Amino acid sequence: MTTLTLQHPSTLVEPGAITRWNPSVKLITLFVVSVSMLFIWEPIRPALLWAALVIIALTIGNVPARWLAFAHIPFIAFGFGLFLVNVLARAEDGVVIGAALAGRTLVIGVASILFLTSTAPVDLMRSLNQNLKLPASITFAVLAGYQLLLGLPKEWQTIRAAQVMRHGGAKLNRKGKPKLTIKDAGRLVFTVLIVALRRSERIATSLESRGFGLKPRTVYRPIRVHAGDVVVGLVVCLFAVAYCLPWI
Amino acid sequence: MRSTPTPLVELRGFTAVDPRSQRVLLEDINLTVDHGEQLLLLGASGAGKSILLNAIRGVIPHSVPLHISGDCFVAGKPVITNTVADLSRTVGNVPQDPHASITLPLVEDEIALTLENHGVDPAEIGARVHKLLASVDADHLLHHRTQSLSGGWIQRIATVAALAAQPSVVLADEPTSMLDGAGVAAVMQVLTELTGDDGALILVEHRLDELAEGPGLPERTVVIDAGRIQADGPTRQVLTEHANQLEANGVWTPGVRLPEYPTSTLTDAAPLLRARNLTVRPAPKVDPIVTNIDLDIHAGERVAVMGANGTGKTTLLMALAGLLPVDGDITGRPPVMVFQNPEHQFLTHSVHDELRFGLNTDAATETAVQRLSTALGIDHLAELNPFRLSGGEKRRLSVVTGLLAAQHRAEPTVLLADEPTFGLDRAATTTMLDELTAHANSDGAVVIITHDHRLADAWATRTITVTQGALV
Repeated sequence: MTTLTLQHPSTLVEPGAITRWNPSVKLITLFVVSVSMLFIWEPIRPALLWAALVIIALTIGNVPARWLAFAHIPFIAFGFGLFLVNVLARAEDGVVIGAALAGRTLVIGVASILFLTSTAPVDLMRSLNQNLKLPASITFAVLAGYQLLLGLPKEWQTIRAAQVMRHGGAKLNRKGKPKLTIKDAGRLVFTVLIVALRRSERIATSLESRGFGLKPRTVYRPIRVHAGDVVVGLVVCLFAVAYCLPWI
Repeated sequence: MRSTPTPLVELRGFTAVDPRSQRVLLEDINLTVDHGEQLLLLGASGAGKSILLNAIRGVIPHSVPLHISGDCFVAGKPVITNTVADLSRTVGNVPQDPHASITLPLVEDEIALTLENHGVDPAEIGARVHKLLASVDADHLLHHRTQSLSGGWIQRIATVAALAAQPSVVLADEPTSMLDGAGVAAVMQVLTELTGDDGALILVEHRLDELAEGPGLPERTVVIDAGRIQADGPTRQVLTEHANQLEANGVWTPGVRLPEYPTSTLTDAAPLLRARNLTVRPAPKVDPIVTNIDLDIHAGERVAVMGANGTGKTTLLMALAGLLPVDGDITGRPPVMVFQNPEHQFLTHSVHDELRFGLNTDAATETAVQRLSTALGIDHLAELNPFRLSGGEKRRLSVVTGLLAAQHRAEPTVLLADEPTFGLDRAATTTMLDELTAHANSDGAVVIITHDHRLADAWATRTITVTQGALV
């Protein structure tokens, strides 16, 4: 039995310069870059931008090459699909448009990977709450749910072991590994859901009992927006818009 | 010291009824708790202790919609018109299930969260978090991840997190259930210190002997039975005058010993379970909890596994049950294991089916099912879904199914049980220990995890302590 764990990409990467960039500003910048990509209809500029982002990810982003390659798989699959559809559907310019769309997907993909690997969920939620004034009731609900989610693989394994015990040991498949029948899986999912539901109810009351919802709240470790955060954000946004708009 | 005339908690003719079943959960409760009072709440499981605490902190009726009548005031404010969060300015609640109160990944943030909610000046928060952690000997955990802590440490963190804002009324529902001896003293110390001279403490606790010998019992005791207050007065007086009734209800009272169980004579036959050169790790590439140990479990043995919080007692049991990959050899009959959370092991939709799952359907087995479910008081629940039982009923059901499997599956085998008496009142604990003994005496053996030294001394034929990679 291997140990199942769920980890956020940010815990796998050594924090670097991009980690110190304010999460809210980073998120807005990511959004602007993604939107400005909508104006590109040829493949060269996305390709260059993709290459630049990969270099950033591997250097100041501290993203391991292997990890970056694996994380690319869904974006490559999706981009290839877009390319193929366009090649088949548009006889004249299908190749160019398809390649442009695929390139766009890859750019947004690497940018998102960079965002995820450099932003711890707690920092993001705190920043959304403090800098963008998203209500604490939403950000802490997301965080509590996220904590619950992180615990689920372990819960799943314990419950599986507990249920295997009730069966007097697991039935083995032909390779000698424990077999999970559909009926077993159904019971397992049912119990995991019930346990998760109970726990989320208790977390909710416990948070209230600890004064969650009182006003005013204070903030122990404020996440500040420094002038540098905004300047970097503006420069990246302006560059993205200028780079992507068709008149340049 | 009565600095203000308003009592901290005041219930007058308070009654709570479950609208679905029309069951009366609390009936005509009249209770006043003044500044500086510490109160012990006694009662058998299901008597209404937790419901009373939930009514005081406003969870009833705000989150659990029961029909209530009568009055409930906290520091003069009516509970009915104040939200749970508003009430938390006065009332702090140490949760029964500490895992369920952890919200954030880091210990430091978890404790700071309460202080942030209450609007404490950020400049003070750091120092207060340090002080709170130090009060339960947990200074070293400041930067730890909450996910990686054991039950006992989580309980200490949850306790100080719950009380960080210094509420004047502290409600504590079995605050030491997952703690070893040192932890009990530390947490009780915190509870009494935090309430101070002017606050009030309402405590539900089973481990009264450890309390009596350590920090001392609260001066006042309230006994509730079937939702009604049966007695209310100075602890010593209540315990003497109502001794018989408490005994009859199966309530834990201080000084009442568990029966001594006779030692069993071991045969020379091969052990039921034999481990050789066993090294167990909780996960691959993690430091082992035990290294190269040998362990034999013979028929007739009753073993108690003890050890401080986080030493890996559960992991050891899972390894012996064959549920974890280990280095070394485990031979003998495959044991049966009962898990800590009963819900994890339920497989069917009724108590009736649950009791008979995987067993031979012969007359002898059926007789055993009937006898055990009657003995442990779950025979009247046959038609119910196991997930809908009360905490104590779930625990009894899960241990009974384990006992039946260990006794009737093929040949008697070792029953490994992770805290089989957790949260049970004295009557249920005694019956449970009797049945575990009966299993050991009929060619089986029992290994349990417990934090309760008295239980281990009275019941076990052998005690194993897991400590720093070895068994003692």
